[in-house]
Amino acid sequence: MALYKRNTIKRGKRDNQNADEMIKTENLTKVYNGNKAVDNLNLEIAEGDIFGFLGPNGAGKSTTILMLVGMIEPTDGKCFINDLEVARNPIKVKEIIGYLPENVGFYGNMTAEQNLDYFARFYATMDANERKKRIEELLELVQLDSVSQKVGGYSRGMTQRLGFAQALLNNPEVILLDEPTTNLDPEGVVQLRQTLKKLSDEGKTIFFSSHILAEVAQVCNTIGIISNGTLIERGTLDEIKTKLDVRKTVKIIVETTNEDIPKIEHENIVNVEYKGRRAVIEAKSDIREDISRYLVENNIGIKELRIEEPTLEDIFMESVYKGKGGK
Amino acid sequence: MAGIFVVAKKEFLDHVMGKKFLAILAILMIISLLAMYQGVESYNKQLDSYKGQIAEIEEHPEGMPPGWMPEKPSILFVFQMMSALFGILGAILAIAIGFNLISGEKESGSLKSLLSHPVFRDTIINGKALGGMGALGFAMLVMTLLSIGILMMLGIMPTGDEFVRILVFMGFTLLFMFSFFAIALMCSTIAKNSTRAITYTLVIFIVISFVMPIAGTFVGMQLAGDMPEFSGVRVEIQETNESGDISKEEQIEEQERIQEERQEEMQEYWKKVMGIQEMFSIADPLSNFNKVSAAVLNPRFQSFRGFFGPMGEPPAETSILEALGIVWKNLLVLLLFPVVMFAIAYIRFMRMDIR
Ligand SMILES: Nc1ncnc2c1ncn2[C@@H]1O[C@H](COP(=O)(O)OP(=O)(O)O)[C@@H](O)[C@H]1O
Ligand SMILES: [Mg+2]
Repeated sequence: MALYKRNTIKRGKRDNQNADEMIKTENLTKVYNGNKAVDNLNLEIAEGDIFGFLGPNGAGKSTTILMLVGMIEPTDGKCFINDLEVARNPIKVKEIIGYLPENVGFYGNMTAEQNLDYFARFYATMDANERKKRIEELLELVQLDSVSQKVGGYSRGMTQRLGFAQALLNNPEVILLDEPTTNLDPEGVVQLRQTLKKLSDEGKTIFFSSHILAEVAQVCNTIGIISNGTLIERGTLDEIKTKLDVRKTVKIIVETTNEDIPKIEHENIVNVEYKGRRAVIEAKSDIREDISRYLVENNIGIKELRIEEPTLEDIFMESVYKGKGGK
Repeated sequence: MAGIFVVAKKEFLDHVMGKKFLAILAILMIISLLAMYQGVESYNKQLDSYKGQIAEIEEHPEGMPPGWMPEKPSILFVFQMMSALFGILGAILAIAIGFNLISGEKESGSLKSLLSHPVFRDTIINGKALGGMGALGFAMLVMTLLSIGILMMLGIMPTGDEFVRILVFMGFTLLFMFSFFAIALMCSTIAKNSTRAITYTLVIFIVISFVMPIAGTFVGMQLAGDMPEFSGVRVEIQETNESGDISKEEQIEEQERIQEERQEEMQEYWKKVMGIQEMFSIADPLSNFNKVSAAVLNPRFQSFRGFFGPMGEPPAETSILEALGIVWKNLLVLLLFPVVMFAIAYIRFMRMDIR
């Protein structure tokens, strides 16, 4: 499909000769009112990677991306895309990137087609015919091809999809997406994921920012976790999972029907929190059978007895908030 | 370089097809229609009385004072009546289309989308300035054609000189509108959002065009010292002055001398006040526009209360070039003002963080 045709990257004069890093930051720092939103960030993302940039709200993800695409000026440090320094080659960089901003917006008084055509006119390489063809393809891809309404009347989800089409306008080598699943319905999320996989298969480099680990885990092959402006973890998906999954205990939730829970004793129990008829037990193993037997012997009705699996999210949040995240 | 026209064309079309622009242009057209209708009516009256006077002179040349000729009314009179209103409405139109040019795109998020494509920031702001000025030019063109059309429909054909003056006046109105467009664009670039941008713009408008000139007069009157007493009442000339050594004639002469001195003092005083007032309104596009349009629209223009010009020349026909020569400093301000405002907007936009 022409949409994903691989561009050969013109490797002309480079600011920074280096192997196959497509995206790179050097001591990247942004200070707002004395606070470091991004703090001495050093990132390297190889060509063809789908990189998940993970971090809670306010961690500095958007700030980093905005510096990578030249919207904001770093307080300190540099960014490179395909070895071109962003601040010094804004136009060359923009010719090879696609960017989907957080809360993407358009001209509300124009249709999707008109919006995309306006942007496309800034590419010297696209003539009227090519623009028309490309825009048709993209609108079909994001399923907005049959929408004739002006963008001002779009739902957030439709705008987001148009934002994705907009990011692919120039068939970019590097695609930077800032929380791209925001406002998308589940179907839209699945489609986005599939498209990103396809693009990656064609060798595009994808930078995907999100605050949801599960989402990043679905599409990305490498991950960086940012918290308070600093990179706290970096590696492949598996590496990150093992690094983060430090918890050796299981959490068991117990709730009784009528009486308060009596004191439960077991050699594997590490900690119990009693709250009337409810208890949260932290144990070294799954001791649900023992608990159940004990309660039945004491004639206590069991309303609920389940194990709470730590989600990736939990692991991530734990590491970010209780662990290395706090400065 | 082609990019600037892509931006300018979009901006121009957005403006001239936008409700805001069309609504204000419609108001401008209605008001100037009314003003022209009134103006033409009183022009016709003046013309009738002028024709009557001419006829009388021809019939009884001996009954008229020697050398006296009635003044032929000029159709420019109509535009003189309109010019103040025109200026204010023009400023409002310029502000209305300019105040959210950058802030609006920041709010909608379209600026980030736009800037992620290979377009220089200066292309965007230059294109926006060009498109906006084009739209204002379009509005002025419509107004010019409309007003000349109305005149012709009413059977009034401006003379060549009048025609030139009307066009020059329209051109300066446009220049004046650019000043406010540039203020609005500057505020739109600097302010966090459009609400603030419009607030800043209006505050600047009111301060430089109304507060400063009034404050200038006030400060001028304070600094110029006491206002000379004006004695409109002549001291009774004593009819019976037998013993005194001053004759009646001498008394009258003395009176006249005092009167003259007083007048001179008064003139000195107002000259001082106006001088100070001028300094306060030196950067005010409205004052400068009023001054320039007075010069363009009045064939007998002289700068009595000139901002910079010489005082009290005898009234005579001034050609349009002479008139412009007198107000060249005001013209310069009208030219420089938008340039400076735009430069601020430009510098700010080039470096600002967009998020
Ligand atoms: N314009 C600004 N002025 C001051 N602080 C800001 C500004 N924009 C962002 N910040 C701060 O920078 C930090 C990082 O923000 P951001 O990059 O948007 O986080 P994320 O995208 O990871 O949610 C936050 O603490 C935020 O408060
Ligand atoms: Mg963000």
